[in-house]
Amino acid sequence: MIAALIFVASVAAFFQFLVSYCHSVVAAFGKIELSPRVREVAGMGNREAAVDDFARFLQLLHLCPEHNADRLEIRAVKIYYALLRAVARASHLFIPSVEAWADRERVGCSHFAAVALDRRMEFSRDLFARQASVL
Amino acid sequence: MLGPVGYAIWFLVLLSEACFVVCALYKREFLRYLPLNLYMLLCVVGNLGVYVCSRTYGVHSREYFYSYYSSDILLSILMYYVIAGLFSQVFADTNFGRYVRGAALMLLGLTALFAFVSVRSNGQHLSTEFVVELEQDLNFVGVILMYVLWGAVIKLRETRARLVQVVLALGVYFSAVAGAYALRNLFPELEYSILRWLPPVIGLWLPLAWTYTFVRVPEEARMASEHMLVTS
Repeated sequence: MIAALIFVASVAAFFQFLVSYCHSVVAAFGKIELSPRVREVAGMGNREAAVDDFARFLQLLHLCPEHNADRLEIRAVKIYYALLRAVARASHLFIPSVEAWADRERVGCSHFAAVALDRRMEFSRDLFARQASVL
Repeated sequence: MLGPVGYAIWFLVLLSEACFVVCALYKREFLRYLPLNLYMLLCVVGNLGVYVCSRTYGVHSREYFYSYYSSDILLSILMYYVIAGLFSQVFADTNFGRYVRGAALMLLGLTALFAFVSVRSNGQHLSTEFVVELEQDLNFVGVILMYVLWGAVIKLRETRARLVQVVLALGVYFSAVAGAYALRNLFPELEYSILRWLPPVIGLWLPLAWTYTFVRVPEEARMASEHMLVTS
């Protein structure tokens, strides 16, 4: 009985801590301003990143040369985004406040992807500049 | 022998723990976060000791059983020292700092005493069931402590990004380990299935999450206080 109670409480705590942890990782990128270059490439104009931008930004990210430093980070946020999408879909009809929260988090994920894209573009530019100077 | 999966997990855990300590030394932050680094360093030593035991006596021996679980329980108790350090960091700017340190030390002493008395009274017939229950209880106390600490972080509007991430990563770790041991306790027949590998695999999380925090999040990074509550 005690083991069952501990199991249920631990699972609940696990998801709460995990979501808070992922949120803190994504929120750390929220303060980073996007460069005009990435806004132009991503077709954002002056608007902020939106919920559904994430997949498009990831496609653009894959066009840039791989950068080892952010690969793991991007993969982790991808999983978090998929989890949030599932939560948003599941709560769509019955708990609109949870859906709204999941959507806010997904906007954070989209902003994260835009920042990652910005960094990769910067990295690619440096790479090309270095290659050009060698040639 | 542990088998390829066992050795792979063991090696990855050892590598990630060593990586955390090396990163801290490289960034000259070993002393600033002494409890965390000391814990990871002792995890490396403990893992190496268990490996030597498995090679010398075999994984089905009594010696391996004792070395594996006793090092794990000792590390769980040591983890309370880490939590006490985090508590004193969170409460550093308040008048409660002194009391919190005292309470944390008392809790550490009581837990060590409880573990010692339990092991001593069961010493003659120390069974897997008993050890699993002890691990489950020790880790669940950790979950409760992390909840208290997380509550304090929110209440005191703690914005140090590193501290917040370290606390949350520890919360994930404790709840996952407590859950895994509780599940093993509920279904003892699953002991030799995936549940056997769950605690060591979860052991990978903490060094990886902490290394990420210390490499990617600068000391001076701050979080907006509205980002503290995910449900706000």
